[in-house]
Amino acid sequence: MCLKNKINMNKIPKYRALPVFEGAVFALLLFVPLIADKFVISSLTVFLLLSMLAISFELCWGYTGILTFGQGFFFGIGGYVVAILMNKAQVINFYVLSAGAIGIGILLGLFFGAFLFLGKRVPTIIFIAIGTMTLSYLGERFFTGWAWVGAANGQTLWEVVEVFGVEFIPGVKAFYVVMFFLTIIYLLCRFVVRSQLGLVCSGLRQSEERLKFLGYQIQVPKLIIFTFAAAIASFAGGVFSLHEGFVGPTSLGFTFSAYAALYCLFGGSGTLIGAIIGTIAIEMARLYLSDINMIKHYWQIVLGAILIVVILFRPHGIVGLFVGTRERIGYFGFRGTRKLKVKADKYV
Amino acid sequence: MEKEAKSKYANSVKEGIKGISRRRFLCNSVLAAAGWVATTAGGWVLRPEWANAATGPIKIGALLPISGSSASMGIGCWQMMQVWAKKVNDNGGVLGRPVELYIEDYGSEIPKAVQAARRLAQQRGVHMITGTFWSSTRIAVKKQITVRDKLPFFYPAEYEGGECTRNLFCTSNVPNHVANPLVSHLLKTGSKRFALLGSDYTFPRNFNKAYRKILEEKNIDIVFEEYYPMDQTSFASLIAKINNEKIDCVLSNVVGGWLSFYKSLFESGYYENGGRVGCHFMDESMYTFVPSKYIPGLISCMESYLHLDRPYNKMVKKAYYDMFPDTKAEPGYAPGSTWRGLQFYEQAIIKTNGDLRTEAITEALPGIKLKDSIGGPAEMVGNHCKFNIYVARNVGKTYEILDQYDMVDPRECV
Repeated sequence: MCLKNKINMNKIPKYRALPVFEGAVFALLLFVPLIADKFVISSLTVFLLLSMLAISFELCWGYTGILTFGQGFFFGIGGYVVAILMNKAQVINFYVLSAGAIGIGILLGLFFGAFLFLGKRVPTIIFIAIGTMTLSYLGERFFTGWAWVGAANGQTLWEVVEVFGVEFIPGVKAFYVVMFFLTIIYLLCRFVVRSQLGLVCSGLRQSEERLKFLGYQIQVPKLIIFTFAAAIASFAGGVFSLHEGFVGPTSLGFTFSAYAALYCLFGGSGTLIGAIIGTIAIEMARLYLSDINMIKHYWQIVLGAILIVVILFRPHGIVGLFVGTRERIGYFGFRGTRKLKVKADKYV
Repeated sequence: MEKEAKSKYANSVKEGIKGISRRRFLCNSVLAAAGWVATTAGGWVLRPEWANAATGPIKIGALLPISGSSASMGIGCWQMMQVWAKKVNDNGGVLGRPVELYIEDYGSEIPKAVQAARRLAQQRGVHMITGTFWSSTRIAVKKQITVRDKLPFFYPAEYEGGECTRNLFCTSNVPNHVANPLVSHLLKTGSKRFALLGSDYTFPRNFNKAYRKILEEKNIDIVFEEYYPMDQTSFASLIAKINNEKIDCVLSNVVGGWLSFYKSLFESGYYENGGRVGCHFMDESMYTFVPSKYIPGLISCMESYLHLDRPYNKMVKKAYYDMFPDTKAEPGYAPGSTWRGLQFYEQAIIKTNGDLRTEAITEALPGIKLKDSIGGPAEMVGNHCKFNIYVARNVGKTYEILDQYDMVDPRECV
């Protein structure tokens, strides 16, 4: 028994880089307010909210193989629900507003997920990508023409809400509130992707045919993850609109959905922490590239070129520079209790 | 199967070695970033050539799209701000204090504008912010600027009206400024059958609402009123309808796909059959988007035109082209409104005797009169401006002034 364990331990690295990496990123984020000014803290708060959107994409694409371009739709819908509740129903209770955002995310996630996944034929990646892209596009068009919700101009959210007894206005307190929510969401997602459901999802990502052959109803886990991700995106959108003080139709358009994909690819698809790192890295670059006089009119092109270079030469993103392929793909169960046979080539 | 997998893995490793390794990539990236920062980094700030050590400069923030789809308009405004700052600083500043300009480019993306506004206020420490073009951007940033950061905010673009937010000042036209002069001119010059068109959002709808009200009061036939998505590029059925219904005046608020619309209308022979187009927001700076040849005789209505034959306009135009001789961004109505806003701010500082607090500036602004500005004298009434309105016709590469209305009241937020 001891010998067996010893052999297994040799198969697995003595310590894993990913948890250390995750811990370091969160610890670093916790200490940022001590050294940063108000603007950096507020910006970072926005980045953390956007990283929730990126995590929702990562759950779908990086872990389940659902290529969705509809996360922006759920993000924007969450914002609109909060704005409508606040401006039309005079609700200023954060928990009610959040429940509204999460609720609409679950409802619409289930509805559109059922439409996309539960048809007679198993949907292809292209079908889902085009379907969700259309969802974002239609959402933006619909809200652009809907005068009751502000049409193309969107809405300003004038009221200030309280979260855990503190006013939710951009600053240190708001940063820690968002940090708290991000940590909860992160841990929840980590639990899900390392659970048996996560294992099935990873299987789906790698080979749907094999999973089907093993007797799984493959559309059910997809629907669960899609709905879960929609709820996260919707919650993030709701809090984003409260933090920024406005919501507009561009929030639920294709642009946000595309950004979510970009964040994950840049950070390192296949890891949750990659979504956060990618978001912060890209948004920081956007923030500071526009300061450089030499490229003041072209900084968006420069940013695009940087992203293309990184994604071409390092397809595993930033996290891939520090964490090996085997570890990024994930371990299931407890370390050292079973022999893992992970073939790296499948995950490249 | 396993052999195949191993060989695939081996190949990928070899490719990695041949291409670029992880360590090498990291090293190269760090070196490149360090080199870039060391050689090119610089803030977007235009400092004066002299300083007032006692009180420091008056910091003005520009929240403009310098890149992206609205860049051409943003660049014009930013350049106009620089011309104004140079003029003021050359004349000794405002109450002896120099003016310092800061700009944040939001890349024509609305959600980024809030962050840019926050940066101007919190990191650059500006005393006032001017900018944004579309109402959607103004609505997105106004809470951040006027409530959270508590700064005066000057909005230089024409818009649909109804903006009464405290600390927010609109320095261009609204429907109450232009609707009556434009429609009156069209009626007195013989138009009888109108079509009201627009892109489908608040700005065109509100302007058309104002046109409709005036036309209905005068029992004029509005044959149809229609709206189109911003991304529509084909207007074939609309053009056919205009011609079939024998419309003799199109009141256009088409913004999305407007080149396609005006080109199709021109090519359909509408103008040859005596048709006319009225569009309140066209001036010389819009030739970038719609060439003059597609809008022959278009009747426009604004508070100023680039080639307006007035000494003040000529002075500003000369200073602009002296400073930016090769620019492609013409100083159209929005740069002109930016200039007007800066003049109002300067006068407010003088009125408060140098008190830059937002409360003081906001209290001081209403009632301030500018003896002369771009387009003529102006007065701040509430948080909007009273100024001259001109009705003009597109002729070749310029606009010929047809009518002038003096000091038109915005009748907003009364």
